[in-house]
Amino acid sequence: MDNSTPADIKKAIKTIRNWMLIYAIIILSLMFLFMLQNIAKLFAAQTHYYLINESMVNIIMSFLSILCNIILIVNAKAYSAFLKSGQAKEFNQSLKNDYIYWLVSTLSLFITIILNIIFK
Amino acid sequence: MEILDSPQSDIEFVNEETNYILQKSCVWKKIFAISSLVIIGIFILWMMFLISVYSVFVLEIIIDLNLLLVFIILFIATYCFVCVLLIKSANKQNQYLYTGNQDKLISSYLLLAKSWRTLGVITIIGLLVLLIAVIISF
Repeated sequence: MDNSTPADIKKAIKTIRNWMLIYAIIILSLMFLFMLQNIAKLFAAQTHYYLINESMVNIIMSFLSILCNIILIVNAKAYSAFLKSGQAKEFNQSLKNDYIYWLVSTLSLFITIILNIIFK
Repeated sequence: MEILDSPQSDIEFVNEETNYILQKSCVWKKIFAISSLVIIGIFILWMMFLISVYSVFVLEIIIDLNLLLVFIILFIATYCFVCVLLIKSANKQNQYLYTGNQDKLISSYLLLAKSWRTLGVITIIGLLVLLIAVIISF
C-alpha cells in the first residue's frame, strides 16, 4: 500500500502532522492557563461589571481555542492513521477533520471579534 | 467548468468522497484565511489611526513595549504569510478539483506543510518570548 502513496504527499502529510501536534499542544496548554487565570479573575471581580465582562469574554475565547486545538489533535491522529494504512477511508477522515477544524476556527474567530466589540 | 465527479488521478487513496470533502474544506480554509487577513488589516489601520490621533502618547507606549513589540510585528507578519499560503493551497486544491491534475493536489499539500511549519516555528518563538518575559518580570 505504501508504494501507491506518492512520496511527496506522504512526506508533506508527515510534516503537517508533526507541526500540527506541536502547535496544538502549545496553544492548548497556554489557553488552559489563560482560562484558569480568567476564572480566578471572575471570582475576584465581585461587582465590578467591566472586569466580569472582560473575564467572561476571555473564558469564552479560550474555551473556543481549546475546542479548535482538540480538533487539531484529533486531526493529527487521523493523519497518523492514514500514514500507517494509506487507505482512502483514513484520508477522507483526515479531510473531514480538516474541514471541521477550519469551520470551527472561522466561527470562533467571528464570535471572538463580536464579543470583544460588544463587551470590551 | 464543473467539479469532477470521480478523481482523474492515479493516487489510490483518492476516491469520489474525497472530492466532495476536499471542496468543503477548501471553502472554509479560504474563508478563514481571507477573514484573518481582513481583520489584521483593520487592526493595522486602527493602530495607525490611534498613532495619528494620540501620536506622542501611543508611540511612547509602543516604544516601552520593546521585545514584545518586535515579537508582535513578527507574529503578525508570519500570520499574514501563513494566511497567504493557506489561500494558495486552497486554490491549488480547487484547481485539482476542476482539472483532476494530481500534481496540483501534491503541491497543495506541500504548501500546507510549509504553512504549518511556519506557524509551529513562530509559536515556539512566541513561547520562548513569553518565558523570557515571565523570567524578566520576576
